[in-house]
Amino acid sequence: MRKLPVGVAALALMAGVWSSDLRAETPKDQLVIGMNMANMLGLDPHEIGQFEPSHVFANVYDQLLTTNADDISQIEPQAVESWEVDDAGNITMTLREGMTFHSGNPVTVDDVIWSFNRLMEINKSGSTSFKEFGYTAENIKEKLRKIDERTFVLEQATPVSADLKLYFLAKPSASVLDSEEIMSHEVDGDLGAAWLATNAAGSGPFMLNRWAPNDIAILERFDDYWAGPAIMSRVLIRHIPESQSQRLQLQQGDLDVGYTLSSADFEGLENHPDVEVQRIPGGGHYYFSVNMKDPDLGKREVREALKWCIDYEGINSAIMKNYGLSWQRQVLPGVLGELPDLELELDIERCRQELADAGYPDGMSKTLRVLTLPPFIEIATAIQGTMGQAGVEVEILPGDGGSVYGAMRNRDFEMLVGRSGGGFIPDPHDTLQGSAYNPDNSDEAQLTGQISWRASWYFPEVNELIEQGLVESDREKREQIYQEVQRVIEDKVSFMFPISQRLDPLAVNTRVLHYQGDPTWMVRWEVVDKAD
Amino acid sequence: MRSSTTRPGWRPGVPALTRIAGRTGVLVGSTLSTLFLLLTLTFVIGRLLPLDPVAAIVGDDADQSTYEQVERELGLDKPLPQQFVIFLGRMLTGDFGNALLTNQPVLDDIARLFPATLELATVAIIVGAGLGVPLGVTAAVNRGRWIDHVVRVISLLGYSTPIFWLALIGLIVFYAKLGWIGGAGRVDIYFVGLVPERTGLLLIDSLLAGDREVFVSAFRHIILPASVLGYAAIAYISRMTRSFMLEQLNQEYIIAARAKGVSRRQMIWRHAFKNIRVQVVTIVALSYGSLLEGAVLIETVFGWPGFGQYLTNALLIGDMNAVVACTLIVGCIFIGLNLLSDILYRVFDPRTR
Repeated sequence: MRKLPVGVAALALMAGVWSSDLRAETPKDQLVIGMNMANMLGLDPHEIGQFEPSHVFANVYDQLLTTNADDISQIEPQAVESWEVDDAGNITMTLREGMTFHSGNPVTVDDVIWSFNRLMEINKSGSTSFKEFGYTAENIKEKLRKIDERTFVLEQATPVSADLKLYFLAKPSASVLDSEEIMSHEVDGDLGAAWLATNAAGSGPFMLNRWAPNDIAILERFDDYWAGPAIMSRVLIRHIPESQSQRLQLQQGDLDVGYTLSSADFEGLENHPDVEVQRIPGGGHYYFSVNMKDPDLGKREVREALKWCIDYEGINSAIMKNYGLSWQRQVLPGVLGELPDLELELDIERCRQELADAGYPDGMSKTLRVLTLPPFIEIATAIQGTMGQAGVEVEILPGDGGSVYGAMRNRDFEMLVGRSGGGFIPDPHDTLQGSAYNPDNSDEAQLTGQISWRASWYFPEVNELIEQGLVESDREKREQIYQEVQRVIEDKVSFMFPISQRLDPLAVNTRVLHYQGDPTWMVRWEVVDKAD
Repeated sequence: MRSSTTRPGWRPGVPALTRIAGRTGVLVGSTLSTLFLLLTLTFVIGRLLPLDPVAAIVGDDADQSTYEQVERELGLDKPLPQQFVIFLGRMLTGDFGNALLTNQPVLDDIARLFPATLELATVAIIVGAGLGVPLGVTAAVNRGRWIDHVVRVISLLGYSTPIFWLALIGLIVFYAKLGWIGGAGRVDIYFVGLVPERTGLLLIDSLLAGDREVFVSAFRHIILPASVLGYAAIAYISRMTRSFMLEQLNQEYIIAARAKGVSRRQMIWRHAFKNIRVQVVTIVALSYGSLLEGAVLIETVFGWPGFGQYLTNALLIGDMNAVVACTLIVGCIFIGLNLLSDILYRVFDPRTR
């Protein structure tokens, strides 16, 4: 008898808990996204530029410009309604009228100028490209000037193709920030950095309502958005680090969109009637690299031989389906200056023979640094296997980002499998600047942001061509220059052997309409709708 | 005059209050030195590991000036001993610094995340102890019979089955196929933030707010991860309970009690179990401590925003402020649970007083 109340209570609880049906699709006016949020280390668009937070920046802030999701080479207005480039490369922009921040403050030219000053002053990741274009915390005050209440000009700091610069005005770092709101939270002259790391002050179609790091982000529709309110009233992002768990939720209809799934789970979802897998080409490569500081690997003949020791086709077909598209040139397909792919093939005999001709009849032993994550470790294992057949004994040194890329930054590696690039910039300079341009090969130069410097790749003629391309405003001439750069690189045999162009796949419930993954990572949610 | 057979630690002529103060002093001293050692080791190991928190923040493409600026801001440009002294100084004022993972003060993060783990571990230990102890007792009193073998198989499976696999199978069966339970997170995403946080324990907070829907959702979300965790605890608790019980059941006082006609039920629960309850409490407390330390895999599979996942992510990027603070908390939990066990020994076992 004494046990009865406990049993009855337990039964009542169970009955209550399971009395209603759990299976329910997501509400029609809310978009639920699952992703691994471990890389969302903050929400300051001037500090962070990774894949996951870019989705939030694209919707909480207005950037000066945007790219067309269907054709990212097309630049379109966003916070500015028009722009004009003069012969000197200065860009005069006119701010859109009637825009307000989520706080209710009007969006002004002063906010634009303050945002760029802040970008350069805090000197975080977002400023990297603008520093390459010659802007500094000091000169930005002169180079970015207000003309009147709606017009401002961004003057050329160093000769740079305006086309290229315009793409960077569509990146998160070119977001317009609410200066009044942010400065009201400034602490010890930090320009609101501490506050902005976990809050937002933008004018985009969605407002950040709640963000719990590594847990959840909730964005509410901004009804006063200048382009009209978004269709979804809320966007909810949940941190789901485990891929299979995310896949189950997509299959159940509890998630509308899923990112950061494993390759096997994307494959598993491919035939699901309610889920569409989108494979979006990204702005970088999966590559095998050698360090030219190494006396063996610095020899052109050795690199030429190693080129034939990689099973490009096998790696792409067996490993890369959801990670990359086969591509062995540094300038990506669809970008100005594109040349036909090299379509390299594995040729063990040729590799062995060329190594012997180069003075290595017995092969050599090298270490290969690689992240312990798919697909890096699988690529490394495949390379180890094929190189072994040609007499190159490869010892794999697996590690995390710090030990792998840290060693690369210190120029302390022999071979490495890595991934380059970020959101797609459809301009050849974007990939060549990092992978072929190295103006100073000395250790003291510390050009650690460029993998060409890290690998000690240094050819003045390549630098010269890239510099010419950067300043050339004639599109046809630019194209020819970049084609020439690639031919020279091919002749010199690069330290970097691209294997695939990176892919950024995602899975979308078919009930969700107009959700289009974006190569630049700036996916816009205001057009997203749901079928009944 | 007391003989040499008096209790250890007894010193004639020393007043009781002084003895208690002395013992407390030794206890506090040993606790603090343990924590300091733990902190030092964690700090040094963390700094010596080939992790690069700066690279994690600035990304792979950042230039050297940005890299060096962030390095300076984090204080990582200073020599290791100096970093440690600065860290200690700040810590003594209750400032553990900001976490790189979240840009928030580490203590705020822990205050936000720990209740999630506490709730999960508590429900798990209720499942684990609530089933593990009776199963262990039942196996012992039925030694060699089929029921004993069944409990052994259950325990073996609990020991040997990877918890990660079990969690995924649970999700496939109970979430995907049967639809009985919720998916990732502590509650359906639409209910997040609907009830005011009083304790941080969602089941309690939703009850206090009288919000049935949130309670039901929270219950459906916690029951599977807690059961999977609890199952692992059942394996340990039931095996240990069985051993303790077998030892007691072979004692002469049990045979005497049976000869005197004491009922089986009384013999088991009032005599044998009474004598093992301190040991059982100890193993339950230690299991609870392990669960609180962070059920990393379970938190990962179920997207549970808890302490274990936080600590793991912090370790992966070399976020040493978060790692050291979490390590100290784990250390405190274990020290606290050990103290609790000691106290319980003294309460339940007069021989230890």
